[in-house]
Amino acid sequence: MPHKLFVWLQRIRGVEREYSATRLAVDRLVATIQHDATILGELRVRDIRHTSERLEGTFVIRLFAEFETGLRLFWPTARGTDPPSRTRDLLDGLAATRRIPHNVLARVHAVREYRNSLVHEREEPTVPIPIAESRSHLCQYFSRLPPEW
Amino acid sequence: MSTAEIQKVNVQEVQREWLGRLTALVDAVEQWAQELGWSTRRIEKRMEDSEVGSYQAPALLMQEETTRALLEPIGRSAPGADGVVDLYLMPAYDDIASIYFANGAWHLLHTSVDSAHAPTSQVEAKPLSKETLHDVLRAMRKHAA
Repeated sequence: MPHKLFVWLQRIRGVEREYSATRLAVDRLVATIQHDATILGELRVRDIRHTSERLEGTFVIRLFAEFETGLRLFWPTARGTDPPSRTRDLLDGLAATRRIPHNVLARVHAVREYRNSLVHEREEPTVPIPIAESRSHLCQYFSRLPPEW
Repeated sequence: MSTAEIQKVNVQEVQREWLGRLTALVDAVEQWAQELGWSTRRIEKRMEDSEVGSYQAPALLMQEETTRALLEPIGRSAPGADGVVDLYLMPAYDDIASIYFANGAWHLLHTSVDSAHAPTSQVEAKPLSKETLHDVLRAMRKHAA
């Protein structure tokens, strides 16, 4: 089945839209339980606060997963081989193939490193990147792929 | 006609009405954009709707020099609106404006941005017209520069 660039861009943007909806719902819940925590049942207030604090990071992980899946599906068309296992190599390889500017690549690597810090809970500090900014960087890189493949 | 058949006809009618409204919007925006010097290209977006099912809806890509924008259908209904379409700055997919159908007309809500990524404020909605679209596209070009 052919892949269309805009369908993938829409999928990436769709993750951010889901985050916005979930953010709204969680914020409402946090406000509600300040007055009535009995609605939580077996959950604790701290569970909700913890969820709220980690929500954006959770969706950045999903955002990056959608982006990376699209790139891995494109790789065989671009390079004629299986995609590399390391995400860093995937990004660098496609950047070389598609002549993606260094600044665009660098911003995507920054998102990747932030994603890694969220997944692996590294101790070294990584600059958090808000989801809107992450989406913007990922879409700018992804838009360098052909309209259809 | 059975209840199921009646429901199916109603669903088709709702979808037909929405797509008609949406296509008329895309037609108008495409014409205005071309008159303002933007080149345009139609694409299709697959929509998922829990009430009327899946369908293809029109979207519009616009470009003037290096500035690109996308008019993308978002949903058939929302609180207080019978249709929502967003306008994005591409390729970053940054929010620029939201266009919604209410009280029999399309309205445009321009989202101001002070960075490439974070919407900061929304001004009052205005009726969608060639002039209000021009204002948004002009601001978008300035922002993208």
